[in-house]
Amino acid sequence: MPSTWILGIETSCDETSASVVRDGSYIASNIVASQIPIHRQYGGVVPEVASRQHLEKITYVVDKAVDDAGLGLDDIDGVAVTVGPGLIGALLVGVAAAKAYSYALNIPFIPVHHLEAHLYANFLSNTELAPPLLCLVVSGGHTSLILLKDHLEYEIMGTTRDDAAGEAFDKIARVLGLPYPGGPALEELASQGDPQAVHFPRAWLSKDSLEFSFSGLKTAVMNYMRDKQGNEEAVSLPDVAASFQAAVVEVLVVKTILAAKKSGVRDVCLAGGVAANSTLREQFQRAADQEGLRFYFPEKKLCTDNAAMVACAGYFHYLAEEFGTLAQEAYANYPLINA
Amino acid sequence: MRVLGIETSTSVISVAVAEDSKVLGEFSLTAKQGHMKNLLPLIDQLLSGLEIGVGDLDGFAVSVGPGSFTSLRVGLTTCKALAHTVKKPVVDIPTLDVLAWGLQGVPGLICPVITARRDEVYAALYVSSEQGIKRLSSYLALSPIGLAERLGSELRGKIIFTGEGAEANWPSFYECLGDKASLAGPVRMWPRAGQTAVLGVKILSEEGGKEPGAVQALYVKPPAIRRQS
Repeated sequence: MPSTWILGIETSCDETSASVVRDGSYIASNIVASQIPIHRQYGGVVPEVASRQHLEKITYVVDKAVDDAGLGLDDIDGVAVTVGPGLIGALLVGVAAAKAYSYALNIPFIPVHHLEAHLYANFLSNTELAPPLLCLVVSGGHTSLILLKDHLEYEIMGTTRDDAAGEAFDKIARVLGLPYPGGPALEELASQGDPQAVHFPRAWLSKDSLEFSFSGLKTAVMNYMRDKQGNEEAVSLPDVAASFQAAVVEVLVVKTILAAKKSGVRDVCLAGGVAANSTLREQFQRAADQEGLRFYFPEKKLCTDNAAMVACAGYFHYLAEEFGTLAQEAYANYPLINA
Repeated sequence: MRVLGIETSTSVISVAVAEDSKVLGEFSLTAKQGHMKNLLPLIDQLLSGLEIGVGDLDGFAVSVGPGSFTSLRVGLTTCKALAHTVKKPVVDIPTLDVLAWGLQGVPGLICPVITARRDEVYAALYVSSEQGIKRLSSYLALSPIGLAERLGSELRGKIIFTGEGAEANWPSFYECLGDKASLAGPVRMWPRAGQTAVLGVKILSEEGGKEPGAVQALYVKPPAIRRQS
């Protein structure tokens, strides 16, 4: 059987990325033009700045992705792109580009959901992996427990009621005076602290609940800092970072294991930007081993936004002949499961 | 020489194919939010109607603004990706130039005006000559009153306004400038891709075009930035 080459494009937030993936498993190229240094000076992602950067970079990243794969655009079999959710002005650039490439090349155009792309990053790093499986997608915008019953068949088992886990990381990082992006900086600081120094609350919600909530924890950390500073007491920032991280990680691990038991799957995965967190990976591995579950995660560079994961998910849509039209739009809010 | 023109600076989505100085076909549609949904289907219908493929084009011309940031990016991205695929050059044309060229041959000053956000307009001054349209000012973003006062203080002869931003602010322009000012006809109020495409042919044959990757929007205004707290 001849190989299938999918061009993936990702512009949902602050990375302009293009990738060529063969048969949904081999990454021939994965180009990421990061805007982190640009947004750092503003303390976070500025949507209009992100959109302008995407427009400047889009054809360059596609050109380099195809070139680095040793191919020409004519060799591509389908173009996959993140159509939502994300920053609308940023998404528009990727979707407009993907539609135009597929139209001019006369090949299928494949819309992909951002969460599905994160989940599918696991198939790139773990070729033996197959559904059914459970995946916790944790990023700046999402905290979702997704059951993948078969390829492209999803059930949401739990999600956050308020902040995403990554959002809590970013906000607390800012409270602790860390630079953007806060997640990796907070992890680094936490590695020098004692995770049991301060007991911050864990939001379990009702017994057996698979829902998440991180706003209470965020407030507890902010109040702790304010009280200490008000009393002019010394605060160990590494201890606060480590204790906060421990609270987030514990809730994520316990609820994911609970979801695995409820669903009966043996394979549990992590995905999303927060999945790059080493403490989270270690705690997951330990819990999975105890429960006799197999635990998988994507390599770190496939956890943050990238186009290889989009191309991988796009490949499975390609096999299922699920294609979009020239009229495809981008969506800031976009449910994974369309009722 | 055949050029596809793309115009998405305002709420009008417009596409056209020009062959030399003749517009072979043009589709225009007003859709405030519908650029993403409508642009590529309109291009497809136009090319199908003319029975030509993307690969049969010699180049592309795109209006690069100023105008609506978001809708401009839909047009520019689409143009860049099409041109990249078929390896053809792109001519980037400021939208105010496109509007001014619509009044080629009209004596006196020509002032196209496009609505900007935050109660401002984009404008520039042009004059028609035997060689075509010549731009006399930089591309400006300012309040409509500010524009009228600035023109009023220096204006000697006649001036004709064009563009939807001129139509929307015509009472205040007229109040400030009186009978020296006139307004172009209603069909001239919105930029159309036929003009972009014809100008594209002219520039492509005289000066050549750009690599698709080098084509950028003409925003005129910096991005609005709210510092994260």
